[in-house]
Amino acid sequence: MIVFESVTKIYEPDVVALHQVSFVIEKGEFVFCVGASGSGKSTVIRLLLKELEPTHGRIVVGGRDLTRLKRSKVPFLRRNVGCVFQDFKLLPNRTASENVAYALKVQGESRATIRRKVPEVLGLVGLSHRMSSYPDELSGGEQQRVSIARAFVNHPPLLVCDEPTGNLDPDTSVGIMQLLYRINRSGTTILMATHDREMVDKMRKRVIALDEGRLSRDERRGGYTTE
Amino acid sequence: MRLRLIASEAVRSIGASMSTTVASTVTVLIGMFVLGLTIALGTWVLAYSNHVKKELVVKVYFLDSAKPQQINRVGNLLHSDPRVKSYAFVTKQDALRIARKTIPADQISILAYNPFPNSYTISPKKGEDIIPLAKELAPLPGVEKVQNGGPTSKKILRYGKVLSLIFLIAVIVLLICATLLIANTIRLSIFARRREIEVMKLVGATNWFVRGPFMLEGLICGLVGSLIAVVLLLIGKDVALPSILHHVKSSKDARALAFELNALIIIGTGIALGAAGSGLTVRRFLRI
Repeated sequence: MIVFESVTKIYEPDVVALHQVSFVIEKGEFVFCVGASGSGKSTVIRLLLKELEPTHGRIVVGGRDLTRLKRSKVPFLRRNVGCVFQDFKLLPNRTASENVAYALKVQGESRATIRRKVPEVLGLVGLSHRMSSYPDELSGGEQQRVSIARAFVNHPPLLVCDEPTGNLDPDTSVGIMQLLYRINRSGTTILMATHDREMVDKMRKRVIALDEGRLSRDERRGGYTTE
Repeated sequence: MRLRLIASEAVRSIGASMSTTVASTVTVLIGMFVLGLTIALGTWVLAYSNHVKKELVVKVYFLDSAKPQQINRVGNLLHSDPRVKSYAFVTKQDALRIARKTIPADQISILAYNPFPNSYTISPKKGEDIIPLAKELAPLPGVEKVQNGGPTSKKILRYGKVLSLIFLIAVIVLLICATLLIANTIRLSIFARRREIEVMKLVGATNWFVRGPFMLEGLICGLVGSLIAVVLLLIGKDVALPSILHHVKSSKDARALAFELNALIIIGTGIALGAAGSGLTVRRFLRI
């Protein structure tokens, strides 16, 4: 599903965010990407969304070499890669259902499809009763659920999450992780950059650890730190 | 389907960010109103200056001893000169007749003989041509003197030139000011929504899907702003101007640019500035 091949990313003028990072993530895996602040986790996510270009190396997502992908094709890549962020990134002047519908509109989906899919996915994340609420009327956990619903409404094969529980209290975080786990069980590959030690230790999924831009650990059923 | 979607997104966006939409529209309104006013006033002043210039004539007076061949030669030259709009030969007798109409009878009656010479009165196509025409005609045989209005006509020509230049500079400066003002307001309104654009891009919207509604929104702001400016100018033209300037003599030859044409220029400029300004500004934020 994802191939990172000796990827190096240097921010101008000389800040090395990633250095010769290589890993492969298979279809359907749930992978945590851990590391201290500034270790390069968010850079990995941004490279996968082609927000950034690698300085060296090759990145393949779903068989497509991102280093060769034209800028005009990036929107089509992003429609196949759902993304969830720490700050939710919801459109403030749209309701929960309109935020989710926007992801379908950009793909040119028909009104009938949008009317069918939006309540379905909001029901899946447990927000059927909050469909007409604006982001500022929702709690942090609810906003993150809307964000997940928006990322998942197209049923993308890959979901990337950049610290999705970073702004949430522990109880709410558990709810979000359960939701992501259920999405993963439906066959969606999930790569999640996180600081949430407790969650990583509890779930015992594959862990890729970064340390100052270098891959320091890749464990099949790892914890936040080496035991 | 695609256009309907872009239109509905633009309408939603106008409703959602009403304050910035109003700010953009008012900026366009002010810019286009001032531009329209300058075009109207400027073209009127130019037309008036051209009208005055057209009143300038060259008069060629012949010696009493001038032979008919010499007078005909001047006539032939004027006939073939492309700078000459019209010319008329005024005989000694005609000149006396005209003088009788303007000079009191007691003064005319004391004349022992007809002192008025034969002459040509020449109207050039362009006021500026009176000076070279006068220079060329003066040395011809049989010609006693040539009048071109002297310093007065030179002054009129100079003022005409200065007025044209001021008008041209004013329009250019105003157009630049209006463009910068509108661009700045649009930039601020789009800057306030840069996160929105970022989110749109991250969920897979193409550049045109994001840009389209912004451009349509800019176009609507430009259209509404310039339409209001046209209405205000119309009110100014039909209501305010006649009551303020009722004493100014109107001439058929001195008219401002047709209001319809001025309105078209204002609306076209408003729409173009609104749409292009939005499209270009959004482009900066699309590099995600």
